Amino acid sequence: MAKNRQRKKASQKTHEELPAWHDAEELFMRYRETKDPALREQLILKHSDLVHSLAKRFSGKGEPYEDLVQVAWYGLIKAIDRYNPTMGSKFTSFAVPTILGELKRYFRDRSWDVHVPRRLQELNQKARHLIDELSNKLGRPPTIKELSQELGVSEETVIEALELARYYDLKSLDERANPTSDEEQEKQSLYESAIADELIEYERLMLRYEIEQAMKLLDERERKIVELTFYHGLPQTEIAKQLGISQMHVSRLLRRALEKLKKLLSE
Amino acid sequence: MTEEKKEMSDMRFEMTIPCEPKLLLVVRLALAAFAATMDMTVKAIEDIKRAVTEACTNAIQHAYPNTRQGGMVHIACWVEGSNFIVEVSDEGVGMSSPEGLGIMIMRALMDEVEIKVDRGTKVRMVKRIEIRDEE
Repeated sequence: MAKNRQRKKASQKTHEELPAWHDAEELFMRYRETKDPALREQLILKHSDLVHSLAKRFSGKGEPYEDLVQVAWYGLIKAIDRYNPTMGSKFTSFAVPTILGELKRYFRDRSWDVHVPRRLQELNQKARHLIDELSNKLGRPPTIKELSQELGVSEETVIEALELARYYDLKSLDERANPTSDEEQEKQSLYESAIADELIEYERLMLRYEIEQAMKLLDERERKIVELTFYHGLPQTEIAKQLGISQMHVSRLLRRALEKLKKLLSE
Repeated sequence: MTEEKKEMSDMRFEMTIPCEPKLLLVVRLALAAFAATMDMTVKAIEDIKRAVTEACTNAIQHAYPNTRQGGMVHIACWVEGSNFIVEVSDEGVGMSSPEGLGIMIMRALMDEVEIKVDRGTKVRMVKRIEIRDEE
């Protein structure tokens, strides 16, 4: 009987139980107090729908949707860092204009066509196309060596282009107002880029977003097991008890769930 | 195993960085360059970079909660047979073992993830190097 009840409970939507889905305003209050980066992350992820719906409004105007989403995320992060919950207005009414502003600025600045190290950016684009092309041809992703041979540049340059061009891309959003020559930009030390950490963080957020999307494709029980394991840190024996199945079974389901996530992430 | 490959497999590199997000870029570039010498695919390299970023971020965020300055994060990486191994360790006392999405991401991206908490946290991750035919 008790077992049945638990089983039923386990199959219900579980997201509400997670710390990740608290009320936004409450999260903001806690974030203000603690400055806990994990809370900030939750806040950002919580508003992913907003990001996508606003980015969609600008799609079909000649810029890739992917880039628009990136700009919108950037706007959201800005809004989260600047929002003050004690001022009385709701977060969304503060965030929407901030994100829209960022998107508009993107379109405006795009036409200036002032690029940060263009060579690296172009190389990044070429490399990304080539990765798709070679993946199809070879039946596996290419190696750095293969890319460097095809592109006719050194392996180091390929590594740099793959890692850094993205950062410059967003950096350029902030710098287009003060364009400097390509040459000057090139001279700038790669490590100086103060925005790099912001962008690594951005990448982490994207990964979290991807994971959350991928989680939706797991079945209820797999998702429950993944959540209990990773969010709540429960041991498998405890999870087995809660779900009324054997620990072996939990372990098998967890492995299967991770395989699925792995596959979804690599797509 | 060819002579060259054998030599490669003796290679190891370590770096110790202060707990600062900005320096993750250096770690990522170094790892990518190291993995490239193993002739790994760009996908595998991307996975390693992402997983190590997660491990380092965990250390940065949680290992040293009581100090403004933060401590050091140590990254070691080497190859054993067809395994590319990365260890990320700190000497922190904070919320030691990584939890939540971070650890799940590491597990999803790498082939093995092992976490030891003693004095500080040590995350050991393995990525298999896919053996493929030379064209």
